[in-house]
Amino acid sequence: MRSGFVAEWILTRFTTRSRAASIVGDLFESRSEKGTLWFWRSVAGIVLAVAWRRPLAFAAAFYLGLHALGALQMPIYGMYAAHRPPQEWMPMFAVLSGLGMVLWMAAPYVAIRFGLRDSFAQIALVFGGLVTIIIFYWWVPAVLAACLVLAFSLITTSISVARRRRALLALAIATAFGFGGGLLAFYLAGLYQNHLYPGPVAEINSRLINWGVPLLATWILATACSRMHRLLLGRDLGDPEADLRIKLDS
Amino acid sequence: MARPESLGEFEQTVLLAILRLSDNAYGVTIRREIMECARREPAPGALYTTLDRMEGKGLVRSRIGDPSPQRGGRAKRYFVVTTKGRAAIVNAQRLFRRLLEGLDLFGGANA
Repeated sequence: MRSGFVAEWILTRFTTRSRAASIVGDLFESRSEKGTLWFWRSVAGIVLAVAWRRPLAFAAAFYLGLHALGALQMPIYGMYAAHRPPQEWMPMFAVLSGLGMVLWMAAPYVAIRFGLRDSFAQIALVFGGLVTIIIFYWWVPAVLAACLVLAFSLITTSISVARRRRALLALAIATAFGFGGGLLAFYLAGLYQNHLYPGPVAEINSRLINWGVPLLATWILATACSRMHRLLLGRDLGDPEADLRIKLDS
Repeated sequence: MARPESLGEFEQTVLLAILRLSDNAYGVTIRREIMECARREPAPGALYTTLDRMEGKGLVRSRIGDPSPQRGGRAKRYFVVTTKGRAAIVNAQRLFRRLLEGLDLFGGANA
């Protein structure tokens, strides 16, 4: 009986509680004729089948996030020198590149985890694309206007469709968490750096910061994306979380 | 009219098994039905992810039954094929029929 609770606890990490309970119930029913080894092999197989997307999605978000940060900051500072917009624009561009990085972390993460047909993934990809175009072509008025009109019309049309409205809300909350998580990671790294001393340990410490900051930021964003997707777009209507989805739809 | 959802081979197998079981389709019986009819044992991981995916696509719907002691007090999750799922399987089978027309696969050298 104890193994049932352990198996259920493991599966609940990767799926909803009610789904995990029914799966373990099914395995329990067949266990008497197939044996304990089959039971645990099946649990491992289900975990693998359900969870393989998670590490892949995390790795893609981590890599693309780092790549996007570099790629989006280059044009901002490079083109700023050439086009010289007012000084006050710089903080806005810094925020825009941070937003672009967060969106390019969120988009591959949700696309790999939930598929390209998922409305969360589609909206994240579109907004990631729009922010990227704005960063690269902000000085071309027609492109900038077209991007802003497209973003505005996407928001207004999404609000009228229940699932898209929830996807938009999920993306907004996940992006806010991702952005905040990134700032928190940098802040913590700054605090940690104050305790560094020169010597052989300093090399290890600087590596820890170089990898730790993006890893922490990716983990916060990935957790926010997963939780928001489960809460607002989850499929399991037997869940209490469905009540919230129904409230948001009405 | 919306085009019916395209189905993979295993999705068709699972949908047909659910249709055959009518109101007694849950994890254990679906697996058993596939084993008896298709002579192959589906991996539990493949079955549950396929059911989950098809529920997401709206091809099947599930409801929770009552808990039973032989399942350690856990409830069964019963599946039924939705109208969309039925349309998808009919469309897939029609396609096969059209492709089979004029072919003598079940006779002669292939029998």
